[in-house]
Amino acid sequence: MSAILRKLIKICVPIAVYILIWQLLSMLVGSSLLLPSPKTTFDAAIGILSSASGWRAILATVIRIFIGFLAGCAIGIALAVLTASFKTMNWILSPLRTLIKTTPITSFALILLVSVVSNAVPVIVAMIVVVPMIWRTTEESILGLDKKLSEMADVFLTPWKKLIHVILPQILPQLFATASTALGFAWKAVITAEILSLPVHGVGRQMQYDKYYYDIPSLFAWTILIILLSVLVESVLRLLLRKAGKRYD
Amino acid sequence: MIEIRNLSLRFDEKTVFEHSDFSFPDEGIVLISGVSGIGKTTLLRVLCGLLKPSGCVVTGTEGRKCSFVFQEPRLLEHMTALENVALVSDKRTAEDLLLRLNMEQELHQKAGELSGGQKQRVSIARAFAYSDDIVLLDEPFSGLDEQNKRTAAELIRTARLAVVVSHDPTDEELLKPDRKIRL
Repeated sequence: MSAILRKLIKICVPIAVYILIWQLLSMLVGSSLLLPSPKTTFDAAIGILSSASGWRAILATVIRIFIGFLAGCAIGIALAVLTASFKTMNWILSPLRTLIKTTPITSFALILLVSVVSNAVPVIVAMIVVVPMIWRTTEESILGLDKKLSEMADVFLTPWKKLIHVILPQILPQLFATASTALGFAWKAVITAEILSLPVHGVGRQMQYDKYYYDIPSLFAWTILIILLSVLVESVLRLLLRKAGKRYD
Repeated sequence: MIEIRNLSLRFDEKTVFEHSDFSFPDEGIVLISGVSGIGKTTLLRVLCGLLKPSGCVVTGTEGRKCSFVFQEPRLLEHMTALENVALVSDKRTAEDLLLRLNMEQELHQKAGELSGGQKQRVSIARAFAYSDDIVLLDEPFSGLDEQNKRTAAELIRTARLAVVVSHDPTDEELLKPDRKIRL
């Protein structure tokens, strides 16, 4: 049996088992309003994917996730450099980190809704979720940099070469791993914020409307589509990051 | 003449140097010896500018390029031996120096996979690839067998000024220093 086939079976068999359990449960419940069958959900998903509004919602959500994720990464790295380099900055900014880390996403979304346009709320919320994760990991990596290697670089290398060949190889592997996890959190945060803020387009908005009109198969279909999209995007990101990290193995 | 004036340093309540002055010739081999913890490595770090104690003045190094062989090889383990050396010079020079230090078999081997002695030779090659003007060497022969010690000593003798820290009395025979400083 080829390796690809074995891998395919390893992925497909558990999924088939879960779909079977789902089918049996929906037959047991007997109401598509409470638990739609996989077939009904699949039909609803096809309906979403064959409509322009469905794709607009998906595209708007994905764009929000990426803007929030990338901005969160940039801010997290900048804050990490500041707090790792200056003790005073660490002292000033550490309450902010605790605040961001401990405040629930919904609180942020609701507070932001008062003053910020609804389209921007999910982006800011995703950013707020990503920042502390990237901040902590990068800060720990900077503080854990090999001092002896840094001293070697001070003798032999230009600051640019030091960054590329000495600092980044020590920081990136951990940062890539955290970024991958942070992206998963950004998905959840954006959808939650969209449900609360109801931007013009967005998966969260569609889900809120489906709930409002009691269109449960569509609600299930959106959830499945989010999972599939999230897995797809994360796989692509992991592949890219693994490729980027390979040179440091 | 290279001079270090008014060097005062304390580590953990222990005075290592107090208003000390040192001088080094512009050329030749200087051997620094002394018991462990007396400040031999510290002196090299001050000379190279890696350590700048307040009030201490270093003169005579202006416009000269200073290179260092650290006590530990300090290589970039994800890079090959050749890449480590070529990072500070051109590839041709890097290859020549590594071949001179009997590293032909390990040129393209990752630094992380090399033995201690091989890493040490890469570290020496890197220092000379960067500059042979002022080369500071902290226990450069550690981990090297007799043949490689002799080869490394030959290379060290090509430096305009080599300041070598060693605690091994046999290194003196190998290097034949022009000047000795005992701390």
